[in-house]
Amino acid sequence: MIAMGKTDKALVVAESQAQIRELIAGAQGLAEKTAFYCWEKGIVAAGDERLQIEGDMPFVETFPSLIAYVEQERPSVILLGNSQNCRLLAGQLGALLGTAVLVDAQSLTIDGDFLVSSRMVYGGMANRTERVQLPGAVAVVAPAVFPAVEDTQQPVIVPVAYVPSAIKVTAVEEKVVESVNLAAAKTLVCVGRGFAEESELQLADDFARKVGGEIGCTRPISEGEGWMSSARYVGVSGLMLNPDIYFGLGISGQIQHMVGVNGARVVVAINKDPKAPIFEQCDLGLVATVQEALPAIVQNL
Amino acid sequence: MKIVACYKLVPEDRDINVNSDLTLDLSKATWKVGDYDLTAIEMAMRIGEAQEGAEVVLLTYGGDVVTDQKLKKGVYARGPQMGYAVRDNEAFCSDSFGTARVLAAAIDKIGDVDLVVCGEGSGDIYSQQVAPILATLMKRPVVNAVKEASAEGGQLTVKRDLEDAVEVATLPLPAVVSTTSEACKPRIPGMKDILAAGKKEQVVWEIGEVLSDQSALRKEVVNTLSPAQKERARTIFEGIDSLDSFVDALRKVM
Ligand SMILES: Cc1cc2nc3c(=O)[nH]c(=O)nc-3n(C[C@H](O)[C@H](O)[C@H](O)COP(=O)(O)OP(=O)(O)OC[C@H]3O[C@@H](n4cnc5c(N)ncnc54)[C@H](O)[C@@H]3O)c2cc1C
Repeated sequence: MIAMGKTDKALVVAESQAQIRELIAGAQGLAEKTAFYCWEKGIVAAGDERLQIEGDMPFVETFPSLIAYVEQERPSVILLGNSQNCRLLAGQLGALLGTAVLVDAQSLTIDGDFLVSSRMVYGGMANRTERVQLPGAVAVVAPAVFPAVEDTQQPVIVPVAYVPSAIKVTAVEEKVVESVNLAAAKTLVCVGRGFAEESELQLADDFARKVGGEIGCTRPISEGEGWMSSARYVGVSGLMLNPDIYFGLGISGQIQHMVGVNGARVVVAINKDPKAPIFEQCDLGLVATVQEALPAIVQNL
Repeated sequence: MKIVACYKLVPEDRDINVNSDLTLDLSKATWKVGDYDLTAIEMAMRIGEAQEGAEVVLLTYGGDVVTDQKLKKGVYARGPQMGYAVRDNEAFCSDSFGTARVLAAAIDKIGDVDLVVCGEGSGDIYSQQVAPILATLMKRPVVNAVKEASAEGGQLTVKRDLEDAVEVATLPLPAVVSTTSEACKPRIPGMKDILAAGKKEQVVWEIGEVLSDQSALRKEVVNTLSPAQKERARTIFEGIDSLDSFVDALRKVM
């Protein structure tokens, strides 16, 4: 069935237009024919078939319908966007097809009867190349792996029968999604748990203004404390960045965070603990509390 | 109500060394409980504690290390009544499908399980796939990204923390959930809890007692290589008294 590094049919599933356009581009490189389901409405003039489920419902409630479609159609490769809901669907499709899902795929190629991907493991300490058998492969693709497709051709609309969901969404509270682009920042000032209270973040703000940097953080500051949005947390499960200068303030320096800034030209650390691992991976360090050091640096720099 | 909280023992990443050919050397690594699995255990405890007569039990799948007394105490001290371990020399090579299959079989063997709680992802490989795969193998509804959950009248109500929204959803029990990384702070066990944990029952099953056929791996690892690391100068100034020299050095690199 597999000709010239391509498999026959791909299914692509994502919540948003932005994600679906990247995935369709990826699928077109892997398969002869691409069907897609994009939960977000609106025109996507690409791919061969667009799946449609009658009615408006939260994405998670479409899963039984999509699973039934896959059970019947058996696409040879399924690509999903990088979101909580897509990871949830991916596992269910993996179980159905009897495959282990490839996740966080940074690249995808077909090699003979296998779909090959690469991803980070051990918190970012290593890159792993792994492969699963075709047909019946499922992959969750990292963002920006493929360039988004432009509108070119109208896909055929394919209705998918609605299958009721055991999971019912009873309320949705929209989050305020912050649109910052830390990828463009040349100077990145990251804060960690060394800041004991939200009010102390002012110290980091003042410092960032002084050095002309953008503010980022470790995962616990965003997801644990909720002091910053997830658009600012850096690391293997957050943002992978390439700043010129990185400041780690009150950050221990664990691999899961540091891998996000490994490429920086200069790494500067301030931490009160001389044994903090960040001091083994920095160019310049100061052993002091951020509360004491930051105002003094702002004054003297 | 019976709740199973799953955890995985993983190598301590600070003990992993990089060989000269950029492969990883895990031979010196000590073991620890995956960070996010402690969150799952805490959530299972909170759901259980809100239910009269609920039982919370633990389940792990791994190599000989599953019976390590120190590790066992560290986990069992977080509140659960008892637990189960499936021991398998090959566990370390398992993929998310293989692990889910073992856990599903173990949960069947435990019997009468109303709710399975998994962490967001394992501390080492972090595929975040075991919960949805095991749920589907067991034909149970599943959600991930759960930051709060409560059970009532055969139904679970969850708050899911998604990228752009918090979603409230219900699912019928029996069910499977996985939590967010920071859903709740794991309780810190006291000395008494740790001592008591040593005496809690741990049922150990060999893999053959749980699954009669060992399925082939679905996912094949081609290689695992560490990227080359930049050399860093590591000029460290000790103490606030050296602030001036630090600032001078900072000016030079900026
Ligand atoms: C699978 C997985 C994925 C993960 N992904 C990510 C990720 O993408 N991004 C991420 O950031 N983390 C991630 N983590 C979490 C990561 O392992 C660390 O727990 C986290 O980065 C630590 O954050 P921190 O340095 O702010 O806190 P801590 O590790 O608690 O460090 C705080 C530091 O502050 C210092 N300190 C305390 N008080 C002061 C003071 N007054 N002044 C100066 N210094 C002080 C302490 O000495 C300490 O070194 C992940 C973990 C796992 C298991």
